[in-house]
Amino acid sequence: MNALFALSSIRHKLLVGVLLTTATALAILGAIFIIYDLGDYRDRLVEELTTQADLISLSSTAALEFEDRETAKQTLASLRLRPEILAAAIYDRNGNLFARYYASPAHIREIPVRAEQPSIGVDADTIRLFRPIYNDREIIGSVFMLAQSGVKERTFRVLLIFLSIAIVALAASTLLSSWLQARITSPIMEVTELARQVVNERNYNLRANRTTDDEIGFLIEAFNQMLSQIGLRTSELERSNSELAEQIHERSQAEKALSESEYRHRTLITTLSALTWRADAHGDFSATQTAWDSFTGQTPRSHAGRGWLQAVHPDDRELVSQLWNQACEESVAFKQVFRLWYAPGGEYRYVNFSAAPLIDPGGQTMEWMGIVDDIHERMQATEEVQRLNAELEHRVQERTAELENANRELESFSYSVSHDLRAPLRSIDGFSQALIEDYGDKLDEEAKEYLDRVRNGAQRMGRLIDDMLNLSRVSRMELVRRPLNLSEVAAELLNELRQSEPQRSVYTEIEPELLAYGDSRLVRVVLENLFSNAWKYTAKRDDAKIRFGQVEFEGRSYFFVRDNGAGFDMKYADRLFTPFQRLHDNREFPGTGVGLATVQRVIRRHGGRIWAESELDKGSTFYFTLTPSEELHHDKTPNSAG
Amino acid sequence: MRAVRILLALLILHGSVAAANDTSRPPLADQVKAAFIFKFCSYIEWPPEIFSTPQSPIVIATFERDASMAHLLTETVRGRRVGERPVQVRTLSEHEVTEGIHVLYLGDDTRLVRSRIESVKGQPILIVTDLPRGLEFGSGINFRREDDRIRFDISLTAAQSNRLKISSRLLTVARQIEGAEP
Repeated sequence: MNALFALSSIRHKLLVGVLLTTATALAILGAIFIIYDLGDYRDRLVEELTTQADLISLSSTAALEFEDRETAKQTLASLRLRPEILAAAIYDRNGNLFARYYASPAHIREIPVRAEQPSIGVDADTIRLFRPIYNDREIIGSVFMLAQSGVKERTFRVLLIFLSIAIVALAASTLLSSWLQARITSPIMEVTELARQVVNERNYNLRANRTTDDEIGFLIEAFNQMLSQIGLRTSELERSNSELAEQIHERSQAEKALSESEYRHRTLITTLSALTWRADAHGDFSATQTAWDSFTGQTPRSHAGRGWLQAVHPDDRELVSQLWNQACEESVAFKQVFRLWYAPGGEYRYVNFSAAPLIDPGGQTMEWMGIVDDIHERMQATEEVQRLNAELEHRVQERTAELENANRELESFSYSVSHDLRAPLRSIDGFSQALIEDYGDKLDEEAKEYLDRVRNGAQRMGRLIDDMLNLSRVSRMELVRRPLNLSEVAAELLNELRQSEPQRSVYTEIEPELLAYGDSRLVRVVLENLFSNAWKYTAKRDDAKIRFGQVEFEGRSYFFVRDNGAGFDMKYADRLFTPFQRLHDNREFPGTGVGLATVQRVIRRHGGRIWAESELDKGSTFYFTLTPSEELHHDKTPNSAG
Repeated sequence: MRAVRILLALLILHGSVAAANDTSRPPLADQVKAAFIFKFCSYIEWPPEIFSTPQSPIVIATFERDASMAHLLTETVRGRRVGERPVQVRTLSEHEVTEGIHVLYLGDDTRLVRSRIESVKGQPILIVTDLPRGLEFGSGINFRREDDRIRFDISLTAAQSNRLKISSRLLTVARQIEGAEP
């Protein structure tokens, strides 16, 4: 509001100034003009009337001199041609009225009866003149004239003209003034508005448009510069403020962290089971060591200097003293476990004595600080654990040795037993056969049948012994690995099986080029067992099928042997590779129960794994690999003993 | 009617003569004529060569038999000038040569007037007469009485023959002008 008022005031002043100037100029001009014009008009009027009077005088001198009133009257009558002349008269030399003239009877009384002194009088309406009449430098009478002056009309007219001029001039001045205002006040208004905006918004990036090159333009330029200066200062101030605030924040943060740290340390120290101590730069204990003294029972006098070493166990004292001296010389952190006298318990206890030098910026040790941590219980516990561990280790080693011994003995026993058992078995079988062949006619049918049973039992036992020997051999044989083509081996084995039972029709399918790396004899044992099982368990099927191939599981490739034979119940799968465990009746599918155990042992010796999937009456699939797996713990098959 | 007019004129003339010169005996008409004769000088222009200097006097002449007029003229012109020129009155004897005069008053003697005018014919002299139909005798200005007022007629022919120029202003008050251009 104030700004607007101020501006309207400027506008007002401008207008008033221009109008006043114009009016003053007009008034002076007008006054001069009117005075001059009226004076001029009067002069002309007087001159005209004087001339007229002189003409009358001239033409009436003779009439006067020769007293010819008629002629004088006629002369005056010629004034009818001049309607502005209201009245005229001629007086003789004695001042008596000689002849007169009047435009209308109303003017008769204007004519004086007697002549007056020469004079000219002009008033608003009339001009009145008395003039002597000369003839040859002799006054022979006088002439009087009264005429309309027209001064009033002239004055009105001149005033009217002047007023018209004044009105036009003032109107022009007003226009000029408004133009001036537009040139002067609008930039000022703009600046004012801008200033208001700057004050309200505190936005120092605003700038006024410079439209003119005059003082206002300069003013606007100066205003802009001032604004930019203010903006610059303000932004600097704000930046410095924010820096200050940041510094204050940082400082308060630091103070807070410091107090927190101090609090933490105080809490730590008061809650520590450990005690703290301080020593000077030379490693000598300073005067007050309350915690130390209450632990060791020393006094400020007794712990002073290197007196504190007296509280160390005599066996450790020498070493600790040497190490401490060394640490003090080198100003490096010190840590040592030793036994320290514990006064309240009346015993030496293990402590962890650690010390750190406080080093000033110059690199000089100012003092030492340290803690003494009672680790007696911990030390004792550790010692006990170590002792127990050592004992356990010892016992495990003993047991292992015993077990290995027993195993070896068992193996050699079973081998020798198997080997030794074969001779009596062969004689049982051989003599039973001889009895049937040589004395068959003397024996009845029942005796023959008993003998057949004896032979069967002996033969089964022989096979069992063979298998067991095989198993044991598999375990002990040395591995000789080389590249193998399993497809060829499989084809060979299946061919043998076909020849052994030519009456069976079995559909076999072998993937070509199944390559592996292993011991050829042992791998042959594996395939032999798996194929003979497949052959055996598909015996009751007319559409028997055996497949040998390779599949991928989880990035690894596995060989598989698949049949569509009798299969087994998966809940017994964990017993599949255990020796002498059989899932089928011996009469239905004869076997010793050692084959799959042998297979598993061979594969394990190669570092591979084997498992089976099956469903009753649908067939079985045996998956195996001969290469070691990184994921041995994924082995699904249970460990068989032995 | 006429009686009233005469009475009125007499009253006015009496008043004016009394005001002009109450000591004079001669008739009022003669006084007026003398004054007129003097005033004529102002309206007449003589050939310049007849005056030796600008101050040379204008001479008004009468004959002895008009001595009363001569006397009146002398009274009238005393101390007065026409322009720079003084005015003199000369009384001529019966046969005196009319030389060095500028105005000649001849009065009302009809017999003499003709011979006198003849004698000065061609000379630059204004001849003033006081005769009925005086202009026919060859005078320049002839008085006449009109409504008891002294008036005069002018003959431009006579004036021109005597090499005189008469001011037009004088003509305006003349009753008759002989020889005026139509």
